[in-house]
Amino acid sequence: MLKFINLLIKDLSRILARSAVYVLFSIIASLVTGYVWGNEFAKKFTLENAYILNAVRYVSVGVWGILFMFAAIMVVVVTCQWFGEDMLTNRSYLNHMLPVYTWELVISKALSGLAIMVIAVAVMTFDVIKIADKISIVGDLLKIFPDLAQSDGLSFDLNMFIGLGVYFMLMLCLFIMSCAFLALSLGQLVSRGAGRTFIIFIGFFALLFISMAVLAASFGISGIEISSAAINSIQSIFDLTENILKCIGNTNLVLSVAFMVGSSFILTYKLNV
Amino acid sequence: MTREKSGKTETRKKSAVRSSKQNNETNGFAEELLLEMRHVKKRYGNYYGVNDISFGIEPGRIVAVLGPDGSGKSSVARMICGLTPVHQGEILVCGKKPGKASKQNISFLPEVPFVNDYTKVSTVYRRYKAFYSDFDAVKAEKLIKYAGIRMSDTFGGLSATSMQKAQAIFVMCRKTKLYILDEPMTHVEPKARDFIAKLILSNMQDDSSVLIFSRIPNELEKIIDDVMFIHRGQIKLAGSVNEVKAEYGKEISSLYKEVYKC
Repeated sequence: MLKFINLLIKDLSRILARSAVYVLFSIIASLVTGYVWGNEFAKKFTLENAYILNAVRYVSVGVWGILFMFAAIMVVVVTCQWFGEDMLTNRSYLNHMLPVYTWELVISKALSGLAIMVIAVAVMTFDVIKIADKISIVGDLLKIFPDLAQSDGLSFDLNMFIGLGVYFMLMLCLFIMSCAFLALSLGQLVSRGAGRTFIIFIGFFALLFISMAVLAASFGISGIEISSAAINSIQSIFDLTENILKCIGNTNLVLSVAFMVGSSFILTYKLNV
Repeated sequence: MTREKSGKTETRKKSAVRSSKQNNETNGFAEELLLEMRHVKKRYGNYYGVNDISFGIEPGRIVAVLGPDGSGKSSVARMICGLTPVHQGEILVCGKKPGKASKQNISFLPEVPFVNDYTKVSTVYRRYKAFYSDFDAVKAEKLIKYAGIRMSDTFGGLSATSMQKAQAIFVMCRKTKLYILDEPMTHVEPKARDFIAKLILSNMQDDSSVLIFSRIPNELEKIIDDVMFIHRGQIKLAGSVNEVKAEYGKEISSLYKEVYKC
């Protein structure tokens, strides 16, 4: 256990060091966008021009979305790069000779990437809620919607929806990371220079294709129906969205575990660095 | 510098390395062997990089596996460490197949640097200290200082010789059973080869063995007990240094030049 914690600390510090620039940039830029541009600058507009103020704040949320995507993509890319470098190049000799199981090496990288993602998501989600709150329509809606929903007999929990969104996002990132881990590991099945890059490339898209099929199957198993007949009320839209987020999140989690087991198997029995 | 000079007495005069031919005669190896390779083959496409190699190594020996580039040395080293798959045959390290348990008993120095250029010496030091309970941290720290390397140095800032010295120090400061050194003296200055030779002699335990893979026999001749010549994935010659010298009437380095025509 102590060795696994040591591994985790090592991976976390390396991935954090490499992705810190992107994550910090995204966090600071989103704060600047939200508070300076979306709030302070927007205050300069008079009440008569309140629609401009709102427009500025909508743009802020859009910019936040781009920054959020950027941070998530960069953490995934950095984690996958670190995996490849630490596990599959000449520099991996030291790691593979450590007296730990291969699955510990794989899991510690995925967990490290995920931990950084959680921090970024937490800070940036807090930030966007603050910006969104300032937008008159959205802000008002956010404040009155739970009461409104309840008075209309709708079952809707805003906090649970935000939580599900975050869960969906994290599982999606974990899925992409583990998919890349397995694709990189598949490259170990052939010798260096024997089309290894090609195998990795094809492997990644083949895994994505398989995942789509599994996702479709899980939609069927969960009884999720996306048709005009099924979407016949506001409540059904809420329920459908909730079920889709849950289903994709859970399927991604299962696929991620399966892919990491696959990576560990290949790197244990078929390692070819 | 010889093994006698280092304070270690040479107790075994006979070779502790058993080649494939001897293996066929004895139909297997004794249980006390630290390393056993049985009819091991490694394929690269249609070509066998390692072709039916069998040998065993007893504790307390320093064995040199000599051969030119492409003879299969590094493949053998990596197979023993479990870093590349064995296509046929069996490898046992202290009776265990390459895996987590065998890794505890192996300290491996690869031919290429196992660290990034930006990695600090102290980072590798801390990693060895954290992961290996058999790592002599005090000794490693002293040796690093003695080699003129600072803990705050990055590996990228070190010369090739210093980098190899640092890596060799970390590898040899573990108190383990089997040390696998792949080309430990190839990329270093002649003066530093003595340092590495001393490092090997002063750090190996009585019950451990050192397996050195090299294409430069000159500096090794003084410290090794046994020698193996490997060519195109097969053992061409194996035995104790004394036996080989007596049989061929030549020094190992001269014999190497003759066998490989270099």
